[in-house]
Amino acid sequence: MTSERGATAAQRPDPDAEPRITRLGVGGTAPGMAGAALAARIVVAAALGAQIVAMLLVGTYARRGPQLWGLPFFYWYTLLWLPVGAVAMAGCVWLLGRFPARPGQARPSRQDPPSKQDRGSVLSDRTSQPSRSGRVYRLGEHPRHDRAMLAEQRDPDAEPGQPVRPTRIERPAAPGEPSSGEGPGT
Amino acid sequence: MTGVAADAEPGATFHGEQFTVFAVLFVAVAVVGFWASRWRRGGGGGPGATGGAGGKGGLNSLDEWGLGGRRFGGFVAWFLIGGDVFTAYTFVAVPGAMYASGAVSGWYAVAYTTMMWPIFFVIMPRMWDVARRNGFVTPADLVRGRYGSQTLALAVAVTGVVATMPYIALQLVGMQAVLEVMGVGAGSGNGFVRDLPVIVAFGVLAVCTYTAGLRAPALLAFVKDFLIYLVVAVAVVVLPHRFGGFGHIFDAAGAKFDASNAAAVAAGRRPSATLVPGSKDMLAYATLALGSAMALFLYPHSITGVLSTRSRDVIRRNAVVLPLYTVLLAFIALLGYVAIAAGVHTTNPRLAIPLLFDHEFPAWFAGVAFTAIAVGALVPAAIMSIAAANLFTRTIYVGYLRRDASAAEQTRVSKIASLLVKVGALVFVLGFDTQNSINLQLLGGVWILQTFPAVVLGLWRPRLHRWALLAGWAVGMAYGTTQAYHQHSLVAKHFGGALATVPGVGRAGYIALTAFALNLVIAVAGTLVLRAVRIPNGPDTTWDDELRPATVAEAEVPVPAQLRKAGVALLDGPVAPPPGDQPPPHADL
Repeated sequence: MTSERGATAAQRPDPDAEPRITRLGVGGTAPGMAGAALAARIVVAAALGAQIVAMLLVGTYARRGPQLWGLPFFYWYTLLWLPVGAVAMAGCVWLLGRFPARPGQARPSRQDPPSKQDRGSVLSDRTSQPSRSGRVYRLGEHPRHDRAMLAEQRDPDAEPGQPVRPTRIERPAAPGEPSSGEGPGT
Repeated sequence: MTGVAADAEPGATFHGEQFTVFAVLFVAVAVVGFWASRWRRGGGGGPGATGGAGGKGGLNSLDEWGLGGRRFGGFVAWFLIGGDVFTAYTFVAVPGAMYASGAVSGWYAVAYTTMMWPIFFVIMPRMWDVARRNGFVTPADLVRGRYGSQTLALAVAVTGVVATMPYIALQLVGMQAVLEVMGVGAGSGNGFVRDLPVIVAFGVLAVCTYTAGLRAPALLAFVKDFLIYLVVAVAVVVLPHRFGGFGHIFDAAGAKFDASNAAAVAAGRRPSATLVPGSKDMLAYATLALGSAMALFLYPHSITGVLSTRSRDVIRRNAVVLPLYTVLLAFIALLGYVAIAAGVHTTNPRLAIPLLFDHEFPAWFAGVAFTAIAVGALVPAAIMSIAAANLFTRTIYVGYLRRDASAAEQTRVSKIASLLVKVGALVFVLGFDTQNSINLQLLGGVWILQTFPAVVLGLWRPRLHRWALLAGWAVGMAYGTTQAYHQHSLVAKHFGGALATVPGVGRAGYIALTAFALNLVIAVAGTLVLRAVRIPNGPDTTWDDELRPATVAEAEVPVPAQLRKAGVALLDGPVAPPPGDQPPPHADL
């Protein structure tokens, strides 16, 4: 599968972003990722669309027999789609979580490119977050960001291409607010 | 046990035991509603809340009052969204329609609530995402941010308010059906005595909502759903068995429909009752289901319920378990056939289910069932009035009257508007014929679907042109309204039904969907034309995903304490600053 992600990464002006992205398992070293994400979205669309189409094709189920517990086919067939649909949507939740389009966004990009007069300058790196102090941190740069990233710093032997699933981003604390330190427990 | 014929006059006698149970439970519910303002208060008992900037305002910001602080987790959201979508009127009207005319006008509700969850799954996480990033509270906010058009936002807001008002009124109609069967005010010629319980119930609701905002219906939704599930579980286990199983029940329903169709043909009318739709009814069935499924999540109150959740994943995961409500609705719908088999006779189909409970359950359990329906009227009515009030405040008040209104002022205006909306609905139901509410609700469905191109297509880019959308909306509204006006039925000279012949097809279809198709064609074609002649679209100030202005001074924006504390799940994306006391980025348009 071709890598949509790889293509955009190659055009990205900031080469510094690359290792971080790779580290998160969504970058160039995992070329199948974007293709897999796209495929996951196609599967999701098909699973969701099938439920709607099945209900709309009334001619396929508007009949009395065979009956189930006295319910005509028309009625129990409609009801049958509820558990089928619920299981399908559970699968969709799993797929979208397993194959995010990119970190911080679980949906493929389908915007037109930003036009300058509309919204001024745009962050060059998709994964960066503006911080409270105004400085723009890239994913993983923030000192209290992510346990996975902290682990990386302490563990130089980690394989560079190894995808690491990010856990949480810590928002910087408000000024004057007691620093929340490590994790959500405190 | 054979069926018991209902009294000719359902409200002939007062059922004291039922009403006592009803009153006691209702007072308990009211206490819960009043307690709600203390529940999960910003900075208070909520998990992870620290009393930081997000909580200091208490209920003085629209996010706190109107969206419950945007921090409801999966469990609360499930009850809230379910309580929002499946209303008392649904629980009375759907089995009523099954009782009167079977599949096309009754069972389609099950089909539409089946196919609406995939739609929900696609639209709502995105809606949450965009709303969260930009601090939107209502769909009209989104339209203003996306298209840069105050006029289009006004059109969406007015449509939303006008479509929601009769919906609130219908909740009262559902409650009245229950009270009528209990015989409240029976024998009293004084209309005020008869309506007093409804007035008291709405007064309680108004005060709860005024003080607690969205927290009140969220908490009441627990009570409501517990009662409804209990009643339906008992009804489904006990009643079909009592009438010889579903096979016999469907036979009885088929026999009744055959008889009523024969009578209709003899009287020179079209037969309308169907157990299984025939080939002529299929288009009507499918378009009713699809149109209703698309319309439901455009109603401002369903958007309010969704925006109050904590994260996008909460919404997705909820879509997996929310179909349980459809199962519930299906069982309730089938109770309409059970009522036929039980020999309930009434000319008012809305009374079929209350009468069934009245005859088949012991008095105290009928009281429980009636409480469930009445509380089921209050929960959506509260959410609807909050949603309508937010629409008014954000679009009309801030957009046209006071552009520099502070968050506290917006909340104050919203609270008062929610009271006015409820009083308006009450006056409408008590002062006018019920049929007016039903007509208007029918029109509301037609109208709200006309906001689909602006709101739902506005979630993604490329966007359509604002003037093309406005033109499509206007044409859709006009077409839908005139078509509905020309429909007549036995009980109504105008607005007699939701179906009209689809031009070019020759079969009856849902008016709303025909109007929507027209609307969409005009919006798309108009956009192409306007682009070709280079008429500029409005500025798009909505932050999408990564496309955010880098100039955001985040230092000024309070991060909610809960987000700060618990961290932000990475897969939910960078969370935009919530509005707090700052005006949203589009406020100066």
